[in-house]
Amino acid sequence: MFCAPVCIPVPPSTPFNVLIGEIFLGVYGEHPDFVAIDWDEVVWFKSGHKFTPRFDLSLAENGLGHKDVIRFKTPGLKGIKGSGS
Amino acid sequence: MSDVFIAFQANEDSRPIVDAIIADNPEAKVVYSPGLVKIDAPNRLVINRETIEEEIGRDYDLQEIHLNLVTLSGHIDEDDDQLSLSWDH
Amino acid sequence: MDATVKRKKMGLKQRYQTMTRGLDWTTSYQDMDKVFPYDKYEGIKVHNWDEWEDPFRLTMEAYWKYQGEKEKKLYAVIDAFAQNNGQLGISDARYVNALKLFIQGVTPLEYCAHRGFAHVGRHFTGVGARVAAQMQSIDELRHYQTETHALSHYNKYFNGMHESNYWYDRVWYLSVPKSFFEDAMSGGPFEFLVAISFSFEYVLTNLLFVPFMSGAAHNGDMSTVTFGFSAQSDESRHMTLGIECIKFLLEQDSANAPIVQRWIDKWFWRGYRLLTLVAMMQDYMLPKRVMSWKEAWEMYAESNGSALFKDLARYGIREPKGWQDACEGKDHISHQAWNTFYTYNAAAAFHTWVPNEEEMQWLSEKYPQSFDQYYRPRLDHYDKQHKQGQRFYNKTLPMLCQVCQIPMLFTEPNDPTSICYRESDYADDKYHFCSDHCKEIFDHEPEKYVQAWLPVHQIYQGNCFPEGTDPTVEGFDPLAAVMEYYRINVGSDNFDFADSEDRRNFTEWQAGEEPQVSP
Repeated sequence: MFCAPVCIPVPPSTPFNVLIGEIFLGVYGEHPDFVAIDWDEVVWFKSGHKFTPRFDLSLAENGLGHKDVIRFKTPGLKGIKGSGS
Repeated sequence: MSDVFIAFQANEDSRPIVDAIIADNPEAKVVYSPGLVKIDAPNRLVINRETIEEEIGRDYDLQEIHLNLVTLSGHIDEDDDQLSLSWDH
Repeated sequence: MDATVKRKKMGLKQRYQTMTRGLDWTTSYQDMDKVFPYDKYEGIKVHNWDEWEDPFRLTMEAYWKYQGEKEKKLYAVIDAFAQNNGQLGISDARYVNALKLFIQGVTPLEYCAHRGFAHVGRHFTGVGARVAAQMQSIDELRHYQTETHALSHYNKYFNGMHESNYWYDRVWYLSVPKSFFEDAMSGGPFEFLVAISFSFEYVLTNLLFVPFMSGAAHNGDMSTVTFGFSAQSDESRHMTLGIECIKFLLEQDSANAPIVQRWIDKWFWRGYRLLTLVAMMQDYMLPKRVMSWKEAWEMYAESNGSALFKDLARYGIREPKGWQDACEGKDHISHQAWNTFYTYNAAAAFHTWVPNEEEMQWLSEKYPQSFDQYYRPRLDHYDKQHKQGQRFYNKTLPMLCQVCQIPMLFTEPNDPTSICYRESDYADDKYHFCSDHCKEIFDHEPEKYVQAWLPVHQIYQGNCFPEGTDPTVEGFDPLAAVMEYYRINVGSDNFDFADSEDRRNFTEWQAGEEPQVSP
């Protein structure tokens, strides 16, 4: 459904839980599976390497800098009709 | 050995050119598709001005083919009397 | 009565030599290297420019004569088309969106080619190459003009065509063709020839021309078909220049081969990425379909291409590095690109839609390996949402590739469920790419690509708002401000075809109402 990763300007002081609780809702909220995401089960990557963010810390405190790229996988949720989308 | 080819818009202007090419290149094959006539030949194809003039009934400048030429394949050699396409190296 | 004997004083070859050779000179009071400052820095060695063979020997006199005749024929057809309301004869108003894509993204490239060839036509020391480049420069200007004329008629009746030149310099998806050509134009003259004459005009040209022109023929668009035929003999001259220049460079010195190979690798890939837009057009935007992108790729790239690279093997040239990945992409890129424009249609100056059931069947048959599994489910979802009054429009800007500037919509080769990410760190900053091949292009010349004007970054920096905009004002809507800056008319140029003025108008005209020409 989301054709590509998004590019978002956020202050480095943004708490990680605000990123997923508010910002991601605006970005991904229309996906039919969004509400089913269990954020405790989500697997994170930074520049392709496994990454374990602390939700109570800011982006900068989590080691995220300008133009860093993060991805997340939702185990068990395989997209619309299992298409990966 | 690869085919050379030349393709023209299929219209009344290109008809005598196609006829001339067929007359001078016995191994050439013609394929018609909407608006297009394509002529394939193994390795080499020649277009002779004189043969076209016989078909067309007037003097002909070989460079007039640019009016109806669509595409071609092969190395070109061109002078006043003949245009040839070939894959000879 | 005796027929007049035509006595030519010189044969064609001699005439052409006389008109184009021996008019140059070696400069005496300025250094040749100062007068021709660009012909050595790329490292290409030319020992004897006299070995340049002119594939077509059109003197200016012949050129004007035959091009003039072609123009008369073309404009007669364009006039007739306008006089007879030819726009009512198209298959379906959705087809016009293919023309919008063409005038926005292809026509400006003709103008760039005109400028690019004029530039290299000044900077080679070899006369044969200079003349060929100058002739092509005139051809390309002609293409820019004739395309604009052929398509301008549609502009009177349909949205999404009115500011194509302005959009080209600013709108996000048009930075894809713009950056492609500017990359070529800002390289040296030899790179330009390998990029445009060889890689684009010879290797990839059929994949641009045939989809649009046969699409036009199948959808009742006589104006565009006629332009296509009229341009075709120009294109065959361009093709022969492409193959001649590659042969010349490789035969002049074997040391040229690795330089040329790197350019072939780069420009095959950049050209392939640019053709993503054509793939999408071919599979989704032609109500009467011709063949699939996959079929076109197999016919024009895989068959023709392998014969070509077999021929070039004797010079030590191999197929481009990205060849395998490009072939793997044939099952995917059109669907991935359509999804991009469908979801970002709020910001694009043409319409998109969910294909109807018959079209979905066609896509399913043409793409047995990919469509039903990966792409149909989301299209069905979009259709359902639209019918519930919740047509999905993505409102968050996408991440772009630093080199090709396309949103990062491409997937890992052989894994269509994972976006392909690559990155490079350079001079205290990080850069992102859609593929190994775009990354390699960057890594070879990073100073060039760090200067890229990426639309998404520029929007976030506030450089895409109308003059005098205050983004700190209460209730400021940045996307609306960008659309105003873009001069895209919200509600008529963008959004779904189903809800468009184009569709309403065309339905009325088909029902017998007189079309009103827009002011």
